[in-house]
Amino acid sequence: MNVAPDMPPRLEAHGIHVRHGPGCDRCLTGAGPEQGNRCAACGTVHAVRQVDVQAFDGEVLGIVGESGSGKSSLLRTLALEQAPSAGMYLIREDGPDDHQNRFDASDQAIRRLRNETIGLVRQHAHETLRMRLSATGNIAETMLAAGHRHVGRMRERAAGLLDDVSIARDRHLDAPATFSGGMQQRVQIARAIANNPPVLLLDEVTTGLDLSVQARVLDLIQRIQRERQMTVILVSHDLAVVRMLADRTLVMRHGQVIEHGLTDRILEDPHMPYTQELVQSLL
Amino acid sequence: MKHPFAFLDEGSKREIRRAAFKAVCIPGYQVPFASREMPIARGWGTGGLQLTLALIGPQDTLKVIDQGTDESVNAVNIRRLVHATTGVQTTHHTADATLIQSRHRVPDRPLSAKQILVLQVPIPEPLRRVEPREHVTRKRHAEADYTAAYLALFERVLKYGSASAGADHPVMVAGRHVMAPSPIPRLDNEKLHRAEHLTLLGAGREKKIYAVPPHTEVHSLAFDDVPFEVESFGDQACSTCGTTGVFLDEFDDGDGGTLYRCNDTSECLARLNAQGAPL
Amino acid sequence: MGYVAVKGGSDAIAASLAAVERKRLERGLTLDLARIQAGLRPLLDQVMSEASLVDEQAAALAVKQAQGSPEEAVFFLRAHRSTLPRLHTTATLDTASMLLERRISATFKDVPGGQILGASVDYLHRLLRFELMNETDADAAHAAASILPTEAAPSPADLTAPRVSDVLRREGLLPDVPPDPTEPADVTTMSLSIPAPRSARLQVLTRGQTGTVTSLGYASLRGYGPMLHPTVGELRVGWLPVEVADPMADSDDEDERYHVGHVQATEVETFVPVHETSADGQDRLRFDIGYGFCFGQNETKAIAMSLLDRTLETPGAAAVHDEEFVLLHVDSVESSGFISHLKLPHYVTFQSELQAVRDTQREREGDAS
Repeated sequence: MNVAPDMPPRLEAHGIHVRHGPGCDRCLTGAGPEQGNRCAACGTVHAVRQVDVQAFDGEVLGIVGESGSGKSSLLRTLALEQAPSAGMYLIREDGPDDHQNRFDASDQAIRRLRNETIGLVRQHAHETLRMRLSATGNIAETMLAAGHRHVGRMRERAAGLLDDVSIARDRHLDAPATFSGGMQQRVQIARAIANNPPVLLLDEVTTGLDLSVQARVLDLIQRIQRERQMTVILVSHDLAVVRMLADRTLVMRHGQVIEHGLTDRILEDPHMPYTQELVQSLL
Repeated sequence: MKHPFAFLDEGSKREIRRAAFKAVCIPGYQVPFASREMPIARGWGTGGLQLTLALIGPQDTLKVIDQGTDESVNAVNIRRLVHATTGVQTTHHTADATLIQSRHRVPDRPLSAKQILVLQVPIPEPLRRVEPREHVTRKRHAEADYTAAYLALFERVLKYGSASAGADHPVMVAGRHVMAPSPIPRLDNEKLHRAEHLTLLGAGREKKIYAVPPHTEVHSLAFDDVPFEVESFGDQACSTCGTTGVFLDEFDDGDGGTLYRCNDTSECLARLNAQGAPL
Repeated sequence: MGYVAVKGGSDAIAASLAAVERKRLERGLTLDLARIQAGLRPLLDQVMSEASLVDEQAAALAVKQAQGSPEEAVFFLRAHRSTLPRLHTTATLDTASMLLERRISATFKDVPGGQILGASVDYLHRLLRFELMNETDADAAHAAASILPTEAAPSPADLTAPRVSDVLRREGLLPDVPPDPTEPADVTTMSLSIPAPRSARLQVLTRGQTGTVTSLGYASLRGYGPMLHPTVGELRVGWLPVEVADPMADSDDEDERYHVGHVQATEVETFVPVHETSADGQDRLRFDIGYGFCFGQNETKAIAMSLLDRTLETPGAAAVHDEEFVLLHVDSVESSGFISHLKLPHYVTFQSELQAVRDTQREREGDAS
């Protein structure tokens, strides 16, 4: 990691809260239920509770937790796919004084951010890719959305990106529907970085892949992140994935961050009993 | 019992005219309206017919064409209906008409400021091929997000090396709305650009009216390095009047060869007559 | 005088229409409107319901001109409807005041107000009665005399009954629904926008093609839908008084309204069990109501409509939950029109496509050489 000491974080979110249900006096005033993430009085689910996130240029932040811990809900709000019930979100595009709360942005502005500023790679490629168009077309789509109108240059850039993620030239015009799971993830990654976004969000990107394929995808992510000095936030239930990539790690449970720190520290000296369990299971 | 002048009741006509006004104010924007059921079937020109009936007055002269000809059965049928319910004059001569209802063609002869062209539209949504859901396409238009339209063209270039996809090639109107020009050949797209006349487009089944007002910028979608191309008939000329550069129909010459003739039959006749008629 | 246009199209159409008229009349018999009105009641009901116009005589004329095709008859009647000015809006019809011909409930045997079987084909044996092959008007009159009711017919006042749903509401078994004063949508004067209000959905469904509405309702029962077995809480067929407010009066006082006639209608309320998680986290079962209504006696359609009303009110993956899918495809005039337009010439579009195909082939050949 290579952080200029006086630079503010590239991305900064405060007090993110995601609630499903109306809430009641008991769970709203206490910012969530006392046990678990479902209020015993009113049944409201507090998927994410008062979470703060910061990430610097060139940093990889890991978010780890079991399913239902709120980590994917958190990532969806950071990807501007889902509006939180409360919270504030800065992405410094225009220098250190960029204080726009991106949760308040218009639909149009959010579409631009998602296309040019935040790259997102999901667990299931079919949620992102157009499976019946060509791989090249899938990458061109984000460039078209950013206003590119030169076929030759878009083809060239798409070819470069697909080369970069090791998709053979003779498959560039094929549809992702005909690709293996690992190849689909690599096309997703190429698509996510097509407009050189400063931020890349990864949601369980290796879950469900064979181990050898997982390793190749993780290597690829690491190489791309280093070459481009991107800010990466990586969500996984698998501490092994986080260990390999993340500089810092947040541990989530019941919608809250229960522990955070340098990944090495968390692995070697976990403070919370839940984190200790996670680390134990890794050994 | 007797049917009212121009078939529709006056309240319906007013509503259709209001939608047309709104369409003129926002060029290329699809204005929803409560399409009425007509005595001809949905998909057979009821959108155009409703515009024609809402606009027509006793002083008008009407021309109806279908696929370039006044004598196509559907053109005859619509002309018969309008004539039967209004008694207005009808004509085959493009120059004499004040109101022209057409399916799939813009006449070869440039129209004047005193003429209105009404085009029948089967599918008004230019993004429909890539997005089936209406509430999504409406949002795309609102946000001027036309990525999907360009993506379809891009894929076409990858596959076939050309961005030109038959008739109904989408156009950008007044720099704001992407519009389906109705299935006119690509050659006709250019006749809408900075035209003297008003073009109104009506989709009866899909319940939309939209417009290209006079002197409006209309550009066919294309790429910087892959320009829009119109249909080319090479150096083929119409075998009847000898014209080139217009949309031609193909015929078998009965001898294993191909014969070309103007698709706009009334204009072909006008050209012949201008060359000096034999009679 | 120079070259003149060929008049092929006009002559062809004239000949084609003459052929249709010849086929209608070639056996030297014509249909009497009175006979259509007397003997084809379900067809008239279906046509008036799909056309959303109650005018028995116009419907009979439409059926006559359509030579019995329901699709064509609806088309005629809808087009006729487009020529009619809208003069007044009726006061809201209260179906509790329906003069009942028939009223059944599948939920309670002893439903308050009683079950009235009325005229129903539900228990009819579908056996061809060959003796009717040569039935004459005299036979009909004779037979009619023998089956006319001997007792005095009950007066209309005896033939109203409270709605089953109202009875259940009074007992607290169904949630109370306050009357909604919002002006209902009218998709025939304002274009349908998605998402549509429930009033617009109901209007589209009640105008829907009987077969299509039935098929979609059936699909929802068979598992392409919520898979819950609904129960017909009440089906009633009868006559509804129609009133119009005095256009000169300042307020819509009930006493100032004009009675303009009765329309026959079918109304259905189906009760659908729904799982619900309440605020305290408890899972409970409650009933939702699906609503069906159409002009005339049209029971299958009204029941199917009530199922679709319910599926459109609830989210789900199946097509019957998709508002655009259901509402944009159930209309007879629209679907039959667009399907039949495929017969229209597409010379220009096809020629343009042909050009594009040839161009790309030329391009490919150019690449290869």
